[in-house]
Amino acid sequence: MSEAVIVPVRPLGLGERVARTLPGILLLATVGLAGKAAEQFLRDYGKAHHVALPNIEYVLWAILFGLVIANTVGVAGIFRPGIATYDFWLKAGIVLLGARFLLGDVLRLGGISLGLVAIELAVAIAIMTFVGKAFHLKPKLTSLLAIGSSICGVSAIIAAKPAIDADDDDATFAIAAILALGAFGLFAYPLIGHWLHMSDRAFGVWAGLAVDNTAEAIAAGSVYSDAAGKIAGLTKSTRNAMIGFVVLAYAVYWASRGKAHTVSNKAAFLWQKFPKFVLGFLLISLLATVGAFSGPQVTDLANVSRWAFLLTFAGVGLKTDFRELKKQGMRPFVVGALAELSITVVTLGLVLGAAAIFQL
Amino acid sequence: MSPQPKRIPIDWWAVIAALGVAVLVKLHLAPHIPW
Repeated sequence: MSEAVIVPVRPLGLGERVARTLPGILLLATVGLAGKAAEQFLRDYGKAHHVALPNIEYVLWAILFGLVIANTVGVAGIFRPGIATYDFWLKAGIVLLGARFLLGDVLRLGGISLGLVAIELAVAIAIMTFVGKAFHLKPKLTSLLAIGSSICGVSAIIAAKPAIDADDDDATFAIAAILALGAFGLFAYPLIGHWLHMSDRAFGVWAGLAVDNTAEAIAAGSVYSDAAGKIAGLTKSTRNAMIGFVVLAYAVYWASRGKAHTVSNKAAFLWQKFPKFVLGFLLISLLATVGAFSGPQVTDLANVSRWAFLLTFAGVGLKTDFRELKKQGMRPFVVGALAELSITVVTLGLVLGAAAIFQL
Repeated sequence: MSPQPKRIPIDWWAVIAALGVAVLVKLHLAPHIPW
């Protein structure tokens, strides 16, 4: 019998970890800035030549450029650690977004969002489970898609994967499907919003409710308007705060069937899965409400938040790999698309109803 | 097997970084940030 030789792997120091992320962060910045430049160029070109060109926000350009790179030449290994930081920029951007909200607005809009989120959760889980069963998908893949579509694409799937002992392949597929469907939503939702003459607030709530990936939800809102992007961030954060409850429910369900570990300490589980950046968002919002920042300082913080989102949007495109979708065949993707379409219609109805009642 | 060192989750890093920026802006230690 041969003895296994364990070679100790030296953990990377903070400096080395930061150095490894630099190429990818530079790529994020380049793609994001190219998006900003494309928006500006199109606007200037239209003005100079007196042509009425559609105003395409930098958000869409940045995501589009990222998508093209990721799905044609691909992303070289040297850039990957840096691209993975997009989650950090997203969350730091959301925390700083808190400076643009008074706590009263957060509580009012958050309260309305919470009510809508509760309905959206129940509807999304029911629809995804029903369609998944109808198409005979693997039950755990259906669970992952249901969690991803009801809460928040990527983070929820990553949180749920160990909790329900799901396969790597299923999780990778579910993430790719949620990102790809969200990318489609980025183009479709603003068109629907303009067609229905939705207000910035109503559209922001809809984007936050219906688009699954947090970065894509804020992106969809920002494509509509800056104000809608801000509201989409708030609504989506409310939805994210529910992540622990949904994942716990699924973990308990699979454990009761003997197909996942039992959760011993449910309170610790909920705290572990709770998105902590929501606390940071509330803290900054509280500071802004008590007048800790002057007007120009709020503008500065909002602009830092915008720069952080610029890197995030570039990362969304670069991380969306349509080739992952082919690996499990078209069936799971069709299930995801059908369920998302139903969720889109239901949430649109909810938001239009809420907009009429609460004057959104 | 030696236990893995406990990593600070990305959420906390994001909160720390954002609060750090807020403190710098509040104390006028950051330059004006245009968009």
